[in-house]
Order: sequence, then C-alpha cells, then structure tokens
Amino acid sequence: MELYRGRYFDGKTARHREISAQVAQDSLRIVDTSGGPVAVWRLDELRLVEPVRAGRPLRLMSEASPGARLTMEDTAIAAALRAHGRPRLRRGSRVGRGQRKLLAIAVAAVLFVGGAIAGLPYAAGPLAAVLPVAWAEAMGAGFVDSMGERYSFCQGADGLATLARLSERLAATVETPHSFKPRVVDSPAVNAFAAPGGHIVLLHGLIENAEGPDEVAGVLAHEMGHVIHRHPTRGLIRRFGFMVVMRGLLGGDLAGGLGATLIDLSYTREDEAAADAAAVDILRRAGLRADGLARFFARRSAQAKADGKAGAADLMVYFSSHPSSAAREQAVARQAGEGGERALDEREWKALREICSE
Amino acid sequence: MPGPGGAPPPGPPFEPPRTSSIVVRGFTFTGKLGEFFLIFIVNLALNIVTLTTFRFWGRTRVRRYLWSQGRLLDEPFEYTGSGLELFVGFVIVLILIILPMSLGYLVLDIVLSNARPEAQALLGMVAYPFFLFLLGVALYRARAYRLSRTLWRGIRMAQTGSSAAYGGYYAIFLLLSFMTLGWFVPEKNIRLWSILINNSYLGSERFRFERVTHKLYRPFAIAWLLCIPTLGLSFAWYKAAEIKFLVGATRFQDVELTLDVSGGRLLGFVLLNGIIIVLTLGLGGPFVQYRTAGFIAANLGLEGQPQLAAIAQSPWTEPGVGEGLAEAFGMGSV
Repeated sequence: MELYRGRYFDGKTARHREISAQVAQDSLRIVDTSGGPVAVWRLDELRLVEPVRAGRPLRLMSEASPGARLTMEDTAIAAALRAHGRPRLRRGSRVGRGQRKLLAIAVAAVLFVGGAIAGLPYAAGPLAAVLPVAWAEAMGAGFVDSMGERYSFCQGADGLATLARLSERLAATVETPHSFKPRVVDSPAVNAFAAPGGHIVLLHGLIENAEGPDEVAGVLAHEMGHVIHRHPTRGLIRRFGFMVVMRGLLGGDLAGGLGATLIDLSYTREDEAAADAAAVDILRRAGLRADGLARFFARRSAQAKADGKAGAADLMVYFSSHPSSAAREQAVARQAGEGGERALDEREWKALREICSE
Repeated sequence: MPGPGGAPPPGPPFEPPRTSSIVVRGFTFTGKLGEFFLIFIVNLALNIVTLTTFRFWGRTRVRRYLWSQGRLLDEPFEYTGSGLELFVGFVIVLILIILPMSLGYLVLDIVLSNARPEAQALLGMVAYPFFLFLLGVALYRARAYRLSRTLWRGIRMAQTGSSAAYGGYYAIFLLLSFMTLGWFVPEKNIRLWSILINNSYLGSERFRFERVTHKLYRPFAIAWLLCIPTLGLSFAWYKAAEIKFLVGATRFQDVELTLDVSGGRLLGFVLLNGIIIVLTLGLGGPFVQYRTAGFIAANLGLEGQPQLAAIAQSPWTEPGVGEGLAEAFGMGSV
C-alpha cells in the first residue's frame, strides 16, 4: 500500500512529527518514520481543513480528534482518498464549536428584531400615552423650530393675539394636559398640522383659502383633536422606531433627517374621524358654529375635482395628509348641527388674514 | 491577517539552530489573485442579493483564504471563525447596546433641544469621549476574536486582558493627541501596541513588547513640520520608522521580529491601496487585505528559532461570538 509523506500536529504542542499516511479500507493510518503508530483516522470522520488548491498542501483533520492536524505536502493522497469512496470531503474547522446554540441565538435575534419592527405600530399608541407631555412638547418644539429654517413664522401682532384668543377659547372646553401653541407659517400651501405636545402650525394659504373664520376655527379644532388623541406623538414614535432599527441594521447616522417626517405623517381614517369628532365637540362646547369644518371639507374636495390638473398638486396637499371621503364629510356635517356664534368678528378676521403682512 | 505580531517557529526543512543572528524571511504569502478574485466576486454578488447581510459570511471566506495562504516558517495559518459567529455577535451588540444607546441619545437630544446651549455642549463633551472609549473596546474585542480563531501548527492564538481598560486608554490617549496637536501620537501608538502585544499569546507562550528608548520624536518632528507643504505625505516616513520600532521591539520566546520598510515604499503601498478603494467605490477592501498580506510577507523578518515543544495548546477560553461592536462602528472589515 502506498505511503504519503506529511506532517502531523497533535494539537497539544506546536511540535510536529514527520509521518507517513496510508489509505486503508475505511481508515487513514498515520505512522512515524520508524513505522510506529501515531493515529488512525476513520475515513468517514475525515475532514478537509481548507479547500484543495493546486500547488498547495492538503490539510486534513478528523472529527474524532478536532485538535489534531495533518499537512500533506504529497497531495497524491487526494486521489487515493477518492478511490476509497471519499470523493468529496467536507470542511470541518469548526467541529465541536456549538454551532447549534449559535444558530438558535441567531434565529431568536432575527425574530426579536423582526418582532420589534412588526410590533412597533401596536406599541406606539401605549408609548405615546405614557410619554410625559413635557417631553412631547420639547420634541414638538424641535420640529416646529426646524420648519423656521425653510419658512418664516408670521409675526402680525393683532393676528397672533386673535389666534391665541381663539385657541384659548377652544382649549378651555377640554381637559387635557397639553397647552396649545398655534403658529402661522408664511407659505401659500393649503395645509395645517399638529406636532407632539400641542404645537399646531397653520400654513397661511389655508387662511387665505378659507371662506370665513369658522372654517379656520374648524381646522384648528381638528388639529387640537389630533393633539388630544396624541396622534402626532404616536406617529413619530412609529417612524423613529422604524428608522432607528433600520439604521442600526444597515448602519448610518441615527439622528439626522427626522424633521421632515412630521410633514409626511399621515393618519388613518379612524384617526381623522376621532379628530373630527373632537373638533365638533370642542366647537359646540365653546358655543361656536361647528359647520365650518364640514364646509371647508366640502369646498376643498369640490375644488380639487373641478381643478383637475391645474394647481391640483397644491390643492391635494391637505388631503394627502388628511385622508378624506364623502362619508367623513357627511359625518362631520351631521354632528355639527346648527347654531352657534361666529368664531371671529370682522376686525379679528381681518387681523388673522393679514398676520403675515407685518 | 495574522498580523505583524504573528507567531514565529520553524517548519521542517530548517537550518539547525546554531546562532540566532540570521534574519530569515519567516513569513510567505502564497495567495493567487485569480483564486481571490473568485471569492471576492461571489461575495459581491451574494451581498447584493442579500442587501449586505451576507457580509459576515463573505468576510469569513476572505479571511479563511488569506490565513490559509499565509505561511509562517513554511506552515500555513488556519482561520477557524464562522460567519454565523460574526452575525450573532453583531445582532447581540445591536440589540443590547446600539438600539438602547440610539434611543437614549435620541431622547436626550429631543429633551435638550430646547435646553440651554451649555447643556447641549455638556452632552457632546460626555458623548464624544464615550464614543472613543467604545471604539477602543470594539477594536480590542475584534482583535481578541480574530486571534482566538487563528491556528498555527494546530495551536490557537489568544488575546487576554480587559477590553474596557484598553478602551479607556484608547480614549484618553486620543484626546491627549488632539490636545497636543498630534505630539502625543508616538507615545499613544507605542503604549497601545505594548498593551496588544503583551496580551497576545500563541498557545501557552506570550508575546512580549520590550520597550527600549525610542528616537521616534525626530522623524515625527520632521513629518509634523513638513505636514502642510507635503499635504500630510511626510507622515509616511514617520510611520515607517514607527512600524520598524514597534515590530522590532516585539519578542516571542527568543525570536526577534524585524520589519524593514522605507517611508517611500510604505507611501507607495498606502497610496495604491487608496487608489484601489476609490476606483472600486469602496468595494475593493478585500484587495487591500490581500496586498497587506503580501506586504508583510515581503518585509517581515525573524531572527532566531522558536522552541516549538515549549508551545503548548492555548489555555485561554475562546469567545463564543465576535466583532459585533466593531461591525456596529463599520470597522468589521479590518
């Protein structure tokens, strides 16, 4: 039987022994230079340490003694092993390393991260409910302030005073830990949004577009409804959580680029219905006409349809972040009922319309 | 790479150990670019398909090849790590450290966004050194993992010592370097290297850093003064002197290491690495590793013979998983 020369390492010290290996029926016999036995490795437990590469020695190990190594400079032994039914040897450097336990941890971790992403939408509501209002206010202030980098806040003194009075009148009707801080941004877009902690931003285009103060009061009350139900906080937690997880996984800056998300936050129909109901309730308790919101919606959707292409993008802005429907408009109109005072008198309404002129 | 601090010992066909004054090219690299390119291209394809999740396994394939083609005194290294170990190491760090820290930082940032600027500055002053500390911890732990997965002649390497202590020194030394406009850098590099080397083992035998007085401040001063006119390239000559000193002061048993490299050659090596990275849009990192193996093989010398019989199997337990923190810092590919 043919002998192949190589070096044997026992895994106990770094010393090697010059050996000869012999391929028998079902084993590899390793003997030293004087013929004394060194080890016998069963062929079915034989593993390759490295893939076979031309011009490089063949490196072997045995599953039964994972510390020992055989370096065969004489690679002709590969052919002999093939002839004995070991045409392909599996690599086995990691025999006995507890790969199963690792695999279990990996699966558990993947499930955990997946679960965190999937569970976030459900956890966001309860989290928003327990987040201290002071934190929410600080968070909201950060976002609203960051809008100031691109737009300017309107500074008309009379207009601001009017808006504050209206907001206070509305807020006095509800019990909420939030204090409301409405502001107007000098932008022609017809839109409004609420930030966490009672910050409300009306875009000036919305005031210009409104036919009378009751519509503005309706929209303001609607945004207050979102705040009372903590929709902005919940939406941001959802968004943040997802971003933190994804950025953590894929690597990247964790804090940047969050400001813009506030504007794209969109609410579900249920959220809108809840905010509508709160708005009507607030307006009626404050003794104001509650049909302004319904009229605003009806007019907006009629305008959007009539306008078709021209200017549609601008008109649709409000509805893209505040999904609407005929059913919703009818519900608001029904709840609103009749009666109530006008939200502002002519002088106040003029001041509010000119809030950006100063 | 098994690193410049790699192990000595002689293979079979070696001269009788008469005198230890002969420097031998103890380290050879037998890699073939064609074989390596195949590994690289398969990794690239799988990384694209899996949105980079394959990177842990890909990195393992690269290392297994580079290790197996690096031969020390004629006997190849073996890399025994697995992609799964890297993946689990990363996910554990992600869940236990990165996510809570990110959330904490985010909350602090939001809460402080309306606070006074002094409070924000204070947060930065605490967060920045802490970040450096974590970076040091990450580097130390990653090295510990790589050594524990490196076998030579069937004997495992290891790194002992506390990663927290290393992280602390790392942060302090870096801050000192900034404060001294770089003049602490030679001391920093010597001290950090000595921690790494004095905690490194091949089996039962420890590496030693034998600190002798150094003359690094002369080349440093020249490099520092010429920094602006040479656009920083002058530091290649300092770096060459530093590497030469650090490797030259490293011992294993009675074996002394040498790394004889000139500033010009080091500069050429580093510049070409940079060009490779830029031209491949950062994907060519593995080729830099490949070239590094070749560079070490071309320049590392050994003086003296190790006593192989005295090197017993490593008594140190291996870490179960590895490099999670380094990966989180985007440094996993080193």
